[in-house]
Amino acid sequence: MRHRIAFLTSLILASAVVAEAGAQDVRDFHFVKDTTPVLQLSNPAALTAWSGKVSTVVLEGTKGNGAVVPLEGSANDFSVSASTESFFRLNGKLAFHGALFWTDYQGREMGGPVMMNPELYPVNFMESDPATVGTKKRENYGLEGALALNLGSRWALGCGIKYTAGDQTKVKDPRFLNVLMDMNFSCGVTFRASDALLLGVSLLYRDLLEQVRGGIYGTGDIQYFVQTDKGGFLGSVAELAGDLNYVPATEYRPMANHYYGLSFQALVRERFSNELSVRYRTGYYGKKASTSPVFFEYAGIEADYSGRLLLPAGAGLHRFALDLGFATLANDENVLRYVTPAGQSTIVEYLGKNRVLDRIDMSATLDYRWCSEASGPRPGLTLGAKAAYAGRMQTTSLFPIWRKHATHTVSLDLTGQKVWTDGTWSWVLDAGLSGLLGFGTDKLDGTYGSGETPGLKSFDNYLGRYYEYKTLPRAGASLGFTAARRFGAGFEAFLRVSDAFDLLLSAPQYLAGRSRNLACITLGCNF
Amino acid sequence: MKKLLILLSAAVLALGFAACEQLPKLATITIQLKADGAAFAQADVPVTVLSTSGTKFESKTDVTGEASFLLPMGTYSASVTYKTASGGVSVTYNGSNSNVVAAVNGTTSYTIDLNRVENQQIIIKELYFGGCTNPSTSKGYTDDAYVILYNNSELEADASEIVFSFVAPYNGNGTNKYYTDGKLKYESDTWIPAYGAIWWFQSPVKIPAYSQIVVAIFGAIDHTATVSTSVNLADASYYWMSNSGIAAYTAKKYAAADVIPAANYLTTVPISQGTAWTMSNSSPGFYIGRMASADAKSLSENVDAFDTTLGTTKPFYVAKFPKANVVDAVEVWSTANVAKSQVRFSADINTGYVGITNNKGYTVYRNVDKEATEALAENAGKLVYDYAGGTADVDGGSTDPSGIDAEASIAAGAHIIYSESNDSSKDFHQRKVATLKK
Repeated sequence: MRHRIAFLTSLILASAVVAEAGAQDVRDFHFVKDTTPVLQLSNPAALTAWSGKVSTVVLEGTKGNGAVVPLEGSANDFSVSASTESFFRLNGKLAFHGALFWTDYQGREMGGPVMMNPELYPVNFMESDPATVGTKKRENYGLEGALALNLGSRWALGCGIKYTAGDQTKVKDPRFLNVLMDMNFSCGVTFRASDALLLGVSLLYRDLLEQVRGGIYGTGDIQYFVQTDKGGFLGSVAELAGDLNYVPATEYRPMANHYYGLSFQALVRERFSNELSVRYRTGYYGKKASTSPVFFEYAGIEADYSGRLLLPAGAGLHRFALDLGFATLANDENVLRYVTPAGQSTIVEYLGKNRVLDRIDMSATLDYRWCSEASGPRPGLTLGAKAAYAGRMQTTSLFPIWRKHATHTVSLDLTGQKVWTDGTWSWVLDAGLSGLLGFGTDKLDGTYGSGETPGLKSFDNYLGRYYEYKTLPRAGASLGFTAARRFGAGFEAFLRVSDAFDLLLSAPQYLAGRSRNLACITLGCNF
Repeated sequence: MKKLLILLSAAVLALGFAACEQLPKLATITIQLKADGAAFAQADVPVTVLSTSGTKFESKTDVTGEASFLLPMGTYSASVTYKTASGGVSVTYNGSNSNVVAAVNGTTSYTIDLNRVENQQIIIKELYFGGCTNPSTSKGYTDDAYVILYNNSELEADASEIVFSFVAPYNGNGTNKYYTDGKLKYESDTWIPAYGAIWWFQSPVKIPAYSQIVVAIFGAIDHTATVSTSVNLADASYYWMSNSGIAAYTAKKYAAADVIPAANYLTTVPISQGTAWTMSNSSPGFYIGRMASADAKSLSENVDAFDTTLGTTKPFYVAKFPKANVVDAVEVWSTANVAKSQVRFSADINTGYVGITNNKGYTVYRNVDKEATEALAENAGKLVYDYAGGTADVDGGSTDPSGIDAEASIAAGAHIIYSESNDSSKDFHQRKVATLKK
């Protein structure tokens, strides 16, 4: 509660500060952000290349129903969130970007992955018994700020930080408790090579730490087991007890991730932005102490390109967005044993390591949008199409067994938005159609040599759910209606209701249903 | 800028290739078998290496008694069980080395010292300790533990001096203070731990040939009256570890049915004095020995002779049970904790382990010595095959590799000879239903 009060106070203060600073005609925040390439760059120094002011505050409630959800999702969930975000120039030298958000999520009948971000990690832990599903509650708080300073006519310097804190708990045994801390820090410079060209380079550092522990608060004579997925839903099973197994019942254990990145930007005529980033990722699971084991250590490289292109078409605008991503991750499991030197405490002795996972992730998104007007508060008509691909290929090696697992997902979204304006009122109707299909290999197992492996398990139910969610063809439609009213030149309030529905086009074997509906109500303002 | 982009692309590709799939790193490990300090120069002796994650590798010795393995980095337990006949007596050579490590630049040669074991008359046929799930509460019920002793020979056996105990720690995956540098403190000593208590009979007990007796460990009552999934231990022929009369056991009292005569009660003097008679319900290291009741009582009371490795206060007292008196043993690990479990018996008593999942009504049951059982002439036409009583269909499952359904065969009038290799992984399996469950 203390956090919520502090957050809402900060949100109100931030709004007041920004509203004070705003005086020009208000525009739709997301329209401005989408059609301003410089605001898409991760280099905080690039903020100086933009001279506008735009802010938003949003309160939102979302209700989800339906089992077409990822493993960490719920077929019956609800979330509320509050957020605010601003871009504005303080004066001739300083530009600012700030954001705050808070999300409260509650999902029923949740089990499966124990971690909050299972897709992100090379190793995951899952509840072994479907009967232990229960309600999970999750809260996230976020703070983002960036400041850019002009150093003369050509150079600019900027620094930014994004900090997210979160916690999650399950209110039924086994009760896993998670604590999340995610901090992104970036610092960069830009150089105005000419009127038409802005070049930039920035350094990135991210520290993502999620800590987890299990807890049994009910009767103690029931054993609970945790499945450890070392990749491709292949791994081992251990009891949730004590502190020796992968997931401890007596203390928090961290999944620590560090990213070190370098990013290059080029902005041409304020209409064509290019950003190429590369990050080195390293991490481990366990506690780095002589008496506590580090079970896994992993590392990888991530690279991505992001491009935005605006092409004026009369009063309107064509906007193209291209995003490409590539990431590798290799996970080693430490070979360790517990030894007790005479007269001393038990310590962990490391004897080597085995490569258990090699993973490659790839993604590509091409997003096109046509807006009938480029300069107004929001365009009268917008049409868009987005094609996206996401793929994951991985090999799990648990000698003498190996498993190859791959998913490839292709999706297409078509959207349209029509705005009617009457004086201070605007009504917005938006609709969308979507389609998704996937392919891949759920599991292809083989052996490097001979050996019996009674200790290795394939978690086929989870594998099936995951694979079906990624690959089963589905179609969807969405409809939204927004009523917005301007108060003076610099403030607009809006209310939006929307609904999105997805339907699997073939019957699932593992997913508990074939549809998903998301109803959302949003109250917000732009200023 | 162009150069920077080229450099960046090259770096991405280089790091990408570096992170690409690697083949497992393997180490060649050789294991030399020894007996009485000299090489056990016998070819084709099967050697098993078991990783802490449960992966099993097998190889056979060459003529010098050495077996070689190609193993991924890891810690392993190597074991040997080799049966032969010597002077008309069935002899088993067994041994283990639980300290085998495949590591980068690590040791590559290990030895196993084999012990010569002649088969015993009285054995542990079944140990039911993990309990069942109480359908009315959905919780585990473990008050119904029992052990069955079996006469594995054609001659009547005197079990009057058979005693019962278990080693420390309670659970196979518990912190084991007896390990130093990967070796048990009593590995080469003359004793093993007697933890909790040593139980002994108070009247003569005879077991006819190929027959059994049942000993209730906690409550000797009809447990099915309150827990339908449990077993009925209220039988006049059964024995009972009479813990209700032990003064130190104040926290929980068990009972015996009236039909069980007082002469069938066992008794004890608590060693590690907790407030209740208890035994692991997930992974005990259970054994039987042969010792006169007076000697067992004296051993349990002689505090000055106790081992205090676990601690110097009463809950941690351990009596030193002579290895020479051990008759049979079974090392049980929880299937959920195999990676963290360690053997608690020295290799001259028992090697290997049997895995079990508790609270499901599963039991630890002895495997049949197929060759010896089929060799009995009186068994002609009485043996029932296609055994399906194991748990191969469930997590952590196992089955009797002989394929003989021992209980069905006994019911058909056959005489069963059970396996005696002193290796729990080969002598026992997890059975889906306790044999006393009707």
